[in-house]
Order: sequence, then structure tokens, then C-alpha cells
Amino acid sequence: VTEASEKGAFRAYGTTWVALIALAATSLVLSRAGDRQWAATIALVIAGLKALLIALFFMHLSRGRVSVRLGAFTAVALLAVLSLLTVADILTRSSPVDASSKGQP
Amino acid sequence: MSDDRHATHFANRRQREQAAELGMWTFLASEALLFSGLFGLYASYCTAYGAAFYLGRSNTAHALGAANTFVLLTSSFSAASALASLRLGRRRASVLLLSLTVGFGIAFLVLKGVEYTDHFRNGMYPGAKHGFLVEHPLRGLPIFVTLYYLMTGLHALHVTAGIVVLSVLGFRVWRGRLSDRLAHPLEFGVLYWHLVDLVWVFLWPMFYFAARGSA
Repeated sequence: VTEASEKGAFRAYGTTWVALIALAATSLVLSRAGDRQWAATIALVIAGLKALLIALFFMHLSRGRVSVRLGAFTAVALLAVLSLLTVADILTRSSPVDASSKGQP
Repeated sequence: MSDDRHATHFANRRQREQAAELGMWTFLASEALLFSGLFGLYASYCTAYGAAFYLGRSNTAHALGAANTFVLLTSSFSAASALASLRLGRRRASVLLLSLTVGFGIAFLVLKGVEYTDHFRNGMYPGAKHGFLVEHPLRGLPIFVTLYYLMTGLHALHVTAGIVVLSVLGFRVWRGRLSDRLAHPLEFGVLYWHLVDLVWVFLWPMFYFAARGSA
């Protein structure tokens, strides 16, 4: 690791921190929107953006080795599959009350 | 101080560090899976008991949750800077930044303690016989409260572990046992701290935003 790259890292950390604080402030403003579905969706998208910034710049995935990037990508991909299957199950499952009233004699 | 020792199955020190780095990321992935199971549980119950979860979120300590978010995001910045300082050979700056990070972590736990104390006073805890849960006998609300303590409590345990790890590493930097030539133990400790921050980024909207349908 060269001295120049480490000095550049300080600038990258500073920029990332400013971006994270700005995104958190935006989330905070949105949280005042009250009972709004879109506010919740945008808040989660912002959370995803913040997570991406932390992973790429603070955790150095943007300049990490291929094996590390592959490991991280696999973890995120598996999490996405797990989340999608969970949500699909929730959205397509009939409630236990419905099932018992229809299925059982 | 450098450490050129490596086990015989490694060709050199660099290869040892690369193997350790991959191992650390595998550990972080397993931690992410632990929390993702709880996120899935939250999503399931939030869908089933939307009104109760909305009421629960409306009664958490929003100001303290927001303050803790800014505290943790800033602590990640100081932790990353501590590592960069060590790599530049600035041990003193690294120790100061690590101390600052640990301080932020302690501040997070103090605010969390204030939050929990307030909730216990108001009867917002599993099995409460007075206050919030008794006044709102809503189906699903006790589940929200249980998940709130389970997930934020598990996260607080991780913050505590991070504080201990960074304190030990900071001591080692101070004593000169870690340096620009041997910085990877601090890199792994800082990676762990970033994961703790990353988890909180999602916990914040899940438990502290009163918008209907959060998470």
C-alpha cells in the first residue's frame, strides 16, 4: 500500500462520511412524513444506498481482491434469494384461519 | 515491528494475510446471515400485523434512534481513518482515532440504555403488566416489542464486542505491537465495526420510522 493511496483513502473516507450523513438526514426528514407508504419504501432504498457506500468505501470492497469481492457478492446474492423467497411466501400464503376454515371438516 | 512468521502451509506472510482476510469475510457473511433470519422474521410479522407494528414504531424513541445513527456513521469514519493512519505509520493518530471510535461506541450504548430504561418505565417490554402493552391490547404488538429487544439487543451485544476488540487493538497499536508493517489485525477489527454499523443502517428505519409499512 503506497502513501499516496492511503492519503487518497482519507479523502474517500471523508467524502463517504459526508454522503452518509446527508443520506441519514434525508431519511430523518422522510421519517417525519408520517403514515405514508412511499416514505417507508424510500427510507429502505436509502438504507440500501448507505450500506453500499459503507461496503464499497469503508470496507474497501471497491478495491478488494477478486476472491473477497466474490465472497461478499455470494453472501449478498444468497441474502437476496432468502429475502425474495420469504417475501414470496408471505405474499402468496393464505392465513392459518382461512386454511383451517376451508381445509378441515 | 513486523511479523514475518507464517505457518508452513503458507508460502509467505502475504499469503497468510490473504487467507485471513478471506476468513474474516466468511465470518462477516455468517453474521449477516444471522441478522437476515431476524429481518425475515420481522418482515413476516410486519406483514401479518401491520397496524400493531405501526403503533409499535410510533412509540419508540425516534430522537435517540436518530442520534445513534449519526454516532455510528461517524464512528465508522473514525475507525476507517484509524486504519489508514496506522498504514501511514502514524501510530499516535491511529490510537487517538481508535479511542474516539470506542468513545462513540460507548455513547451508542449509553443512549440505548436511556432508551431501554424509558421503555421499561412505560411498560414497553415483553410480559409487561402495566403501561403501553396493557393500554394497547393489539394482536401482534407484543411480537413487535419482543423483536425490538431481540434485534436491537443483539446488535448492542455486537457493539459491545466491537468496543472490546477495538480497545484491545488500540492498546496493541499504542504498545507498538501493530504497525504499518503489521496492520491486518486492525483491518479485521475495523471491518467488524463497519458490519455493526451496516446492520444498524437497516434497524433504524425498521424500528424508529413511523411510516406505515416500514421494512
